[in-house]
Amino acid sequence: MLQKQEMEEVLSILLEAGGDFGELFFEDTRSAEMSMIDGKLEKVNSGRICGIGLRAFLNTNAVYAYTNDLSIENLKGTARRIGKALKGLPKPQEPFILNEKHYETKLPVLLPFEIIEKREKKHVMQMANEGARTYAPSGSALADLIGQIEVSYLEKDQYVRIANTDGMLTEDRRRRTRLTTRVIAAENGQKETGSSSPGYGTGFEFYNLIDPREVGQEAARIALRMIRADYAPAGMMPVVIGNGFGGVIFHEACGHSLEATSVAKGASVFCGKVGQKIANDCVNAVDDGTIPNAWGTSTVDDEGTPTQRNQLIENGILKGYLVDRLNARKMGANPTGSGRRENYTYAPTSRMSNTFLMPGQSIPEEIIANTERGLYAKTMGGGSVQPTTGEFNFAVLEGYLIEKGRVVKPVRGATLIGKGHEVLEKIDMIGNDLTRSQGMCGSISGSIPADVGQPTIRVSELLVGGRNA
Amino acid sequence: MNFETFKNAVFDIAAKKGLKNYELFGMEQREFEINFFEGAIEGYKDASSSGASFKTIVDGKAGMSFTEVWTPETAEKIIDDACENSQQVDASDPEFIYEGNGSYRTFPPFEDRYVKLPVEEKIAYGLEMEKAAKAHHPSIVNIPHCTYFDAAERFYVSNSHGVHLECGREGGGGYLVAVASDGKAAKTGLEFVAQESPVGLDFVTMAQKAAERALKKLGAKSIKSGKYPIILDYNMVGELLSLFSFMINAENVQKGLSLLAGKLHRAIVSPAITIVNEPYIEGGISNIPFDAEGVPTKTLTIVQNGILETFLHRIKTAKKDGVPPTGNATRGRYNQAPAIAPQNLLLRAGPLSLEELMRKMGDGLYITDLQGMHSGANPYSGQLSLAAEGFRIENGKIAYPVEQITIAGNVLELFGKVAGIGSESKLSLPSGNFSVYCPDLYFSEADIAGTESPS
Repeated sequence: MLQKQEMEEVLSILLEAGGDFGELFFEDTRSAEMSMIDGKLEKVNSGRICGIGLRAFLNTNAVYAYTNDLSIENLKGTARRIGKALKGLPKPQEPFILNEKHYETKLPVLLPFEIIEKREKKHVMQMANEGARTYAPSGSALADLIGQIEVSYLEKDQYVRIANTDGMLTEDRRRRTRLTTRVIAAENGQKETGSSSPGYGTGFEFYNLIDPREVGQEAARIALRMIRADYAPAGMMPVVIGNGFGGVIFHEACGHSLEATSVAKGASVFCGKVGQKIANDCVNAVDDGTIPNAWGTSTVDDEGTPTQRNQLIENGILKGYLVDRLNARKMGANPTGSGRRENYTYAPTSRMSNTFLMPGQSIPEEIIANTERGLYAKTMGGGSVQPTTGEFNFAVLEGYLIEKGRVVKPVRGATLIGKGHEVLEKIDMIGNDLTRSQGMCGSISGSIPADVGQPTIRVSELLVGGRNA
Repeated sequence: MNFETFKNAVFDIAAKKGLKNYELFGMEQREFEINFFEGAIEGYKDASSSGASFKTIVDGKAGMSFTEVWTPETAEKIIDDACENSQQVDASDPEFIYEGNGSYRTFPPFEDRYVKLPVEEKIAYGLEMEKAAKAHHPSIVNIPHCTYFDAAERFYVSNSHGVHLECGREGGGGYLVAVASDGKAAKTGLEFVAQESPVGLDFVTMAQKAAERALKKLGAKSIKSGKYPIILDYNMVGELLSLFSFMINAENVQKGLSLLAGKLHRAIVSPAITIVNEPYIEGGISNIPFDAEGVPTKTLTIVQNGILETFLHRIKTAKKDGVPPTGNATRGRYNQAPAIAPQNLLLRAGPLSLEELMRKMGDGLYITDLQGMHSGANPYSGQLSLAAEGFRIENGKIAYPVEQITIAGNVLELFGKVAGIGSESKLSLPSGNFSVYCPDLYFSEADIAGTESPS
């Protein structure tokens, strides 16, 4: 690993060559992935990535390079090359000193992955498989509908060391694991899927906290519900969105448009709206990268800034954006601990961490009881958004038709679309049952772990795309 | 350490440990990118990385391990890890290392032409395209993304049966997102250009197209829910074909994950449809003479006039089905296990221009954008439920732009309703590590939902 003095030398070159800020991001990550189909372990892959990302700014221009040739000669050469690309005036630099700073970890680990034998990890997967396989009593008609069961196990141990020309030097170790089960139900040549994939920022102790069988059961439950479901209705209607992963609606409809990545360029529907009312009074939203051991938590972000709890919306009023260092310069704002990247091959930018809507007063059952006709989107799939226009879409994994205040039947194939800024004003009931779920969020700085969350909510009107128009 | 030296170190240790059946897959890559915003360089990326993955097969069971650190210590470590990983595997289908008896098509030599272009020239391209998009119309108010990029990759496959292969490929181009506004609403338009050689890259036309795409969408409104005939823009046909590529993957078929299992030599889509895999397309950026296991790549007719002719195989799946491997093993990066994918998936063009397709359709929708592919399109069930944008077509002509609609259906059912095929197969928006070339397609019917209340 690079010595402190070597880091100082490389960073100095970024300034000498013309930058007014330089940053070095070192990463050494070990990961393992195992996949199982129908109880048989099919693939085991493990390994290590290790490299350095160098970044320099001149005012609001940025250059980035990464390499995994970690020799000091190559790093100096790379620093010189990208520093020059800034076209700043080369200037001699006083040597400067990095002051190392340690923070108490927000991702403490009890059982590091390397002390656990692979067969124990395999056993966890087998339990998830068994949970899915035995969800419907054997010999029952439903049991025959269960087709394939895919289980995957992921562990990642990411060590980063981040230094910059403000003299900052810090490190962080993020260990995360996730168990995913996907069940395919089949009948009459049709297939439907159900999945469940909890993850956490811990070591192997995660599997003492959850019952892997329940992960399999949940996936089987959804697949079996959906295979015999009718197609979803289409058109404008009230939509009740279930808690936990339902929070993907806020993530897509609003969260991405609050990232400085879009805001700084004037390419977000929420530009210039801080202090203004952008949502119904009952809406409170938070992005919190500090929640101990949460999936989207880190001790410092990928720019070395300690993570923090950012209030995004308070009683319907926009309180602030998620800001990284570069966009902080562009916006004249402070970084919010939101600079994130998948790994050293990406320059960081502002991203969400654990983002959720705060609980309200309503009991979930009451929300459904108050809905004359609509869709109950109990479990959501993923989604996407265009921050410039606020147009979002996301898929409903498990949906039900609500009629006269009651859930009457399961429906499949629904998608929800709308414009984020419009939907926030239409959230008219918020439940008291906040939970968070795990997702992978993809954007320009790669695919990163992020929690989404919410209590059960109702949107008074949303376009449901389905096949029964 | 370069790949050759690292490979020698790995192979020496593997032989000493008594391994008989192993492979080292290596990749070196570089990428270069400049992002422009408001006439200045906003971002600049100049990067390289390399890595290798070791695979060994013991009793038919494969174990893998990868590393980006090429030293004698890591050479030993990846071998030990791969051996340990293989012991956990209990899959019943054996894995194989390619024994190397195929012949390889000759490809044009790798010239690394983009790296030779002066950076100043690349900057000029970027500034030019941003300017062209802005100048296209006063309603173009913002260019949030304007990027020049180029990249090169070198692949290595070496194994214990004496196979030692090496090839390089490169590509470059640009993409641009333009935002048009009429003061009430904003609309975005994306366009890109990508090709193997820098010669003839036309950034300005690309930028104008992006601006035009955004501009044309201004004033869009939703429509009533119902069944409509539709024309899908070739880029969107390409996105749907990525679902199809999941279904023709023999690994998915053999595991019962594909809707196409058991459908070989049967009609699966409209007889108008022919789909092939091409390992080489003139100017293409996904061309490669051998696959990730070292098997020669080849032209393969997957669907002929609507009949499913073959699945895509790697060695393991081919042996299981008793057919020759089709050369479709792929690894996006060395840290990924081998999977199956086409190189260039090509849907054969038909006789009609876009205007002729519109005239033939008369009344319907021309859909230019689909959103939510990664969540609203399910490769297992084939179900689609996607946000869409485009144009209302009346009397064979564009009547007005349309937004806030969804399209729902099953991808195979939809491709069963092809009523017309565009006359040019074009490279569609790159996604994943293969290219897709398709024409515009006219479908006789699709389920559309909109926010307008039924009258």
